[in-house]
Amino acid sequence: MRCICATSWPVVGEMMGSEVPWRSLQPASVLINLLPDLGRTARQLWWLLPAMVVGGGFQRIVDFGFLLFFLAMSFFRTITHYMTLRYRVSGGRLELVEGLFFRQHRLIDPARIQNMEVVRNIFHRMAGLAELRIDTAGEGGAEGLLSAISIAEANQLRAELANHQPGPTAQEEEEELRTGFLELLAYGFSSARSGAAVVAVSVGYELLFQFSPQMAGDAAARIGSMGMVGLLLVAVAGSTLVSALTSIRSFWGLRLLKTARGLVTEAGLFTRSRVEVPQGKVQLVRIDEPLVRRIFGYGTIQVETAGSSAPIEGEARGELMLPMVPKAALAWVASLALPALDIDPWKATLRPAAPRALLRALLGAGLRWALICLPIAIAFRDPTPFFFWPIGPISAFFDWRRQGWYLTESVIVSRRGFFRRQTSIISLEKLQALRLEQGPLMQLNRLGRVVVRVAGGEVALPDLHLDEASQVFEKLQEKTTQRTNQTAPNIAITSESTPTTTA
Amino acid sequence: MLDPRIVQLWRLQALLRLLIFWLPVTLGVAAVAAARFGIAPTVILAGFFLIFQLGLGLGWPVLAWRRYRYSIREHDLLVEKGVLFRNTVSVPLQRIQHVDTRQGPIERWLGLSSLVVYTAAGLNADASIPGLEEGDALHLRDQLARRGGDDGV
Repeated sequence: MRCICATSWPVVGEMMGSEVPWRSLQPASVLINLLPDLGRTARQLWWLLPAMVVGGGFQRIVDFGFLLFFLAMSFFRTITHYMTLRYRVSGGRLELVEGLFFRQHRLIDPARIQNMEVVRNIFHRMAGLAELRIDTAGEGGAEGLLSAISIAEANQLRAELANHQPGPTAQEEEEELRTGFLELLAYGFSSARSGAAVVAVSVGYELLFQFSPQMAGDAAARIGSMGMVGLLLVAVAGSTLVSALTSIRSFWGLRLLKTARGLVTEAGLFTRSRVEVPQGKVQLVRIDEPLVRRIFGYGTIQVETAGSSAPIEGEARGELMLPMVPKAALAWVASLALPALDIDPWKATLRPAAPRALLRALLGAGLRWALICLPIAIAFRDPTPFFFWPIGPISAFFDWRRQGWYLTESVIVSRRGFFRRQTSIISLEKLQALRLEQGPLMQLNRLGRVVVRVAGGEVALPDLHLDEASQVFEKLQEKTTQRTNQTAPNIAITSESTPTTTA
Repeated sequence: MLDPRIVQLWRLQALLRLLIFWLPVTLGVAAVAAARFGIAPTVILAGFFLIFQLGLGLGWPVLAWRRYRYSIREHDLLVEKGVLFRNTVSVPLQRIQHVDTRQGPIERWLGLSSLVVYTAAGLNADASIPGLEEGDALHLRDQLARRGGDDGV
C-alpha cells in the first residue's frame, strides 16, 4: 500500500502524535470514480443536449461551455478526492481526512457503526479492488467511504473495525438462506409495475385522442382491437422483463449468513455487495407480502438500522434486504435479525383494528378515489373512471379486515394492507418516541392511532378505540421507561424544580 | 399550559399570512371572477372569505392555546396539541439527542422562545414547545440536553 502523507499532510491525528501511517486510495480510483461521476453529471445535464440542438450558434457555444465546465468540475472532484483522501485505523477508530480547500477530519468509533458494506462494481472487479462503505446513525449516506482499495485491505479493515466493536469476536459464518434464480425471477415478476404500464399506454392513447381525434382514430383502426390488446400485453411484458432483469442484477447469488456478531448478506451480478449488520443495531424489521408474492408463498424482509442505505432503482430499502423468503421461514429470519422476537406474527392471532375504523377507512378511501376519478372524468368528459371508483372502498375493506397488532414484552408487531401487505416489527428497547394521533373523523368515532418511532423509521398501529389506544400508549411508555431505566439512572425533573414545566 | 402571549404571536402570524398571501390571492381570483360572474356577488364572496380568514386567524389561536399543554415527567416529555388533529407525543428523556431553542422576530419582540426536541428517529423534530419565556426555555433546554444513557441506536 502506497503511503503519502506523514510529512505532506499535517493533520490533527499527527498532531495528536499517532504513529500509525496514513494510507491513500488506489490510483485506479480516479478512473473507477470518474466514469460513474461523469455519467451522473451527464444525466443531471440532459436538458442541455436538446438546448444545444435547438439553440442557435452562440447559444450552442454557451451551452457547450456549461457542459464542459460541469464535466471539468466532475474531473476535478475525482482527482481531488483521490489526491486528498487519507485514512487509517488508529486507537481502534477509523480516521479519515479529505478536502483541498476545506479540510475535513472525521473519526468513526466502531461501536457507533450501524452497518458496513463492501461493494465491487464492474470497474472494481476489473481492477481487482473494492469499495468499503461504513455507515453510522444518520441520513446522509455512508459516513466513511473508501471508494477504491484492495480487496485484502477492505477485508482487513472490516475485520479490524469489527474486532473493536462490542460483542463476540468469532468470525465463523453460517449460511442461513440462499435465493435461487427462479425465486429472483418470481420476485421481479411480483414487483413489476404492470398496472402502471397499462395506465401509461391508456393515458398515452387518451392524450393522443384529445390532441387529434383523427390521428387516434386512424391509429386505432390500423392496429385494430386485437392490436390494442397486444400493445397492452407488450407493455405488461416489457415492465415485467425490466423488473426481472433488475431483480437478477441486484440480488444474483444472494446469501444470508449469520455470524456471532450479526447478519451478513452477499449479492449482486455486476456490482457485488456484502452488507454486515451488527445484531444490536437492528431497529426495525419490515416484511412485505404483496398479493402476487403471497400467492407464490414468499415475502420480502428488510432490516433497518439507524443508518441509511443506497436506494435500489430510486426506491428506498432497508440496510439489509432479502427479496424472497419462503413464508414458512419469515418468522425465523425475522428472529435472526431481532433475537428478542417472542412471537410468530404468522401463527399468532393478532389483535384486530377497531370496528368503527372500517367506517373511517371506507369514507377516506371513497373520498380519495373520488378525488382521483373526478378530475379525469371532467378532463376527458367521460364517466368511465367512476367505474373504477369501487376499487378504493373495496380494498379499504379488505385492508381493514387484515389489519392487526400485538404487543409483547420485547416487541410490537403491526400489520396493514391487503394488496400490499406489510408487517412491521419493532424492538421496544429501540423506541425513540411515541405519538397518539386523532383526526376529526377519528374524534367523531372515538378512535386513536398509536405511532411508534425508531431511528430507522416509524410504524403506525391500526386504528383502535380511543380507550384501547390510550392503554397501548401508556403501556408502551411504561415499557420504554423500564428499559431505559435498566441502562442508566434517571434524574427527575418535577414541576416544583422548574416552575414552567407542568401544564 | 403555554404562556398566554403565544396567542398574540399566533394572531400576528395569522394576520401577516392574511396580508401577504390570502389578500393578494383573493383579490387576484376576485378580479378574474368579477368579469364572469359580476362584481356584486364576487365582492360579497371575497369579503366573506376574507372576514372568515380574519375570524379564524383571531379565534383559532385561543383554541390551539387551550389544547396545547406539556409536561416534563420523571422519565419522559409529554406534549399534547391540536384542535382538529389531536396529537399526544411522548419522548423518553434518555432518547433525546439534542434540544434547540428558536426565536423569530415577533417572538423576540414578545420575549418568547420555542424549544425543539430531537431524537435519533430522524430529521423532523419529535416534540416542540412554543411560547416559553426566554429564561425558561434556556433552563428547560439545559435540563433536557443534560441526559445521558442509552440512546437506542
